[in-house]
Amino acid sequence: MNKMTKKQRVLAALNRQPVDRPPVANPTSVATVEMMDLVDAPFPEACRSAELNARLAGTEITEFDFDAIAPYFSIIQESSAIGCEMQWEQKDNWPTVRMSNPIWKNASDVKIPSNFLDHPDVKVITDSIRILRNEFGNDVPIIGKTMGPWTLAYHVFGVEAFLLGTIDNPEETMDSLNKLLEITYLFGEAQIDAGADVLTVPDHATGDLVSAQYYQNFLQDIHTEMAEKFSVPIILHICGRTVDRMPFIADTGLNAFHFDSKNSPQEAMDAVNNKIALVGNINNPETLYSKDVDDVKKEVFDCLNAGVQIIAPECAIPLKTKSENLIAITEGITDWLAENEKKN
Amino acid sequence: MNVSEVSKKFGKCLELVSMDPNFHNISVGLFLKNDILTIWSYSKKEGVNKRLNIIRDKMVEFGGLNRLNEEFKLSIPKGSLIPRPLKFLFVKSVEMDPSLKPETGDVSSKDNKSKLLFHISGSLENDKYIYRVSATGEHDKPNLRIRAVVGGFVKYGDCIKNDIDSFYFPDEKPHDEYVRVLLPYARNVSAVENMLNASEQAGQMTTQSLGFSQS
Repeated sequence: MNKMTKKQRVLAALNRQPVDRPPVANPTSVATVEMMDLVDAPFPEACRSAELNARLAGTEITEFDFDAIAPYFSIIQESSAIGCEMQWEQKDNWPTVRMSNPIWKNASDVKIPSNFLDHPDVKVITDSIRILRNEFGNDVPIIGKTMGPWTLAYHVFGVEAFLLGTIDNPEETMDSLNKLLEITYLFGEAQIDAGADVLTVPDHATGDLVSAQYYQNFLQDIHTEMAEKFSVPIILHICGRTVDRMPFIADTGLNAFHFDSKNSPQEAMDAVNNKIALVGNINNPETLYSKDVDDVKKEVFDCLNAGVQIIAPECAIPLKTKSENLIAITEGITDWLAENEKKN
Repeated sequence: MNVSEVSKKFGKCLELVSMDPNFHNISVGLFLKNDILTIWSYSKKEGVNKRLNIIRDKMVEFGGLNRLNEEFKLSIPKGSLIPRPLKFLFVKSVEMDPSLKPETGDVSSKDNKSKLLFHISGSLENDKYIYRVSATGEHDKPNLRIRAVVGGFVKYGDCIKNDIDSFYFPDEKPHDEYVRVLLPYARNVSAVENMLNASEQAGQMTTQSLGFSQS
C-alpha cells in the first residue's frame, strides 16, 4: 500500500478502511509539563491563549510524530463560557469546574449566552485550530472537541443533582439534555468551520455512575442524531468500564469510540462487532505515568493484536507523563509491524 | 534538543519534578544512562543551565554522588544504583532552599508521632554494612516506633530488613547520605504515603479526578 498522509491514515482508520500503518492519535490530550516547558506554554495559560494553545498542541506532531493534533486539552472550555465557577489550577494540574456550586437547577434555567462563540475560553480553541491549520497544512488532521450534553449536565447541575433528576423526572432530564445539546452543536460546528477534520465528543455516561440501560434510554438517540448532523467523523469518548454499553454505542453510526483501559482491547472489539472503530486504550495512571517503555509497547501490541483501529492513550494523558513513554507508543507500532512482517 | 535526542543522549527518565519552586516552576528530570546521571529540563528560560548545575551540586552534597566535569552530570559508583532513595534525593535537591547545607555528625531526627529522638548508626558486620536504629526520650513502647522506622527504610530506601531494629542497603555498602535523606520520610510512612498519592493524582484525568465517579 502507498504511504498515506497522516490525515488520510486517520480518516481511513475512523472509517474502518485499510491503512498503510495503524495511526496513533489521542482524541483527548497529549499535553505534558515537559512540553509546556519546551514551547513555553504552561497551563493554565495554554488553555486560555490561542497562540500558546497551538504551540503546545503542535508538539504532538513535532516531538512525538503522532498522526493528529488535538488542541482542546481539558473538558471545561464551554462550561467556563456559560458561567460555571472555575478552578484554573496551575501548570501541573487540570482546570476543573467547581461542580459543588452548580449554576443551574433545571431545564428552564438552561440559556446559552448570545455571545457564546465569542467568549475567550471558547474562541481560544477555534482560533488555535486556525493557527494549527495554517502551520501544519492540510495533511495533518486536527481533532476538535465538543462536550456532549451529559458531561455539560454534570458541570451545570452538579453530578449528584443531575443523576437524582434522572430518577425523579426523566422527562425533565431529556429536556435538559436536548437544550444542552445546542452547545455541543454550536461549539462543534464552530470548530469545523475553523478547520477541524474530526470531533471528539466526551459524554461521560461512565460505568462507575450509570448503567448501560441509562445510555440506551438517554443518550443513544442523541448520539445517533450527532452522527447524522455533524459533517465530520465523530469520536465518542467515555471513561471507565463501558463494555456493557458498547453494543449500543456501536449502533449509533458514530465513527469511533475512544475507550478506557478498564475494558480489554479484545472484549471491546468483540462488543462493537466491527460496527464502529475503536481508539485506545493504553493505560494512563499506571502504564504511561509510571511504568517503562517495554510496558507501553506491550499494551500497544495488545491493542494491535485485537484489531483496535487507532492506537491512543485511554484519555488525556497525565501531565507528568515522561516523554519517552509517548515515543514508545509510535515505536511500539513500528515494532509490531516489523514482527508481523517477519511472521509473514 | 528534541525529545528523541534527549532520550538517546541522556537515557531513561528516572524521576520528573513538574514544578521547580526555586526557578520559574520549570519541570526538571533526572535521567540515567550507563551509570551517568543527567539533570535536564526542556525549559529554555534564561539561567536554566545554572539552575540545573545547582541541582546537580545539591545531589552531590546531600547524596554523596560524584560530580562530573560536564554540565548537569554526575555519576554513581558502579553497582550502587538504588533507584528509590535516588529519586527522593533528586526531589529534595530540586525543592530544597538552595542555601541549605547538609547536616553533619550523628544521623538523628525527632519522631513526629512521639517525644522520641531517633539515632541511626552504621557498622560493618560480616561484610555487610548494617544500620541500627535506636531511640532516646519518653515512650511506652519505643521498639514499636523503631520497627516502624526500619519499615520506612525498607519501603523508601529499597533496604533489606536485618533485624527488628536494623537494615542494610541492597549493595550492602554504607550510604550515610541516603540514610540522612530518608530518615524524615521513614519515620512517618502514612503521611509520606498520603503525600506521594497526592503527587501521583495531580495532573491525572480520571473519572475520580473529574468527579465523575462514586469512589
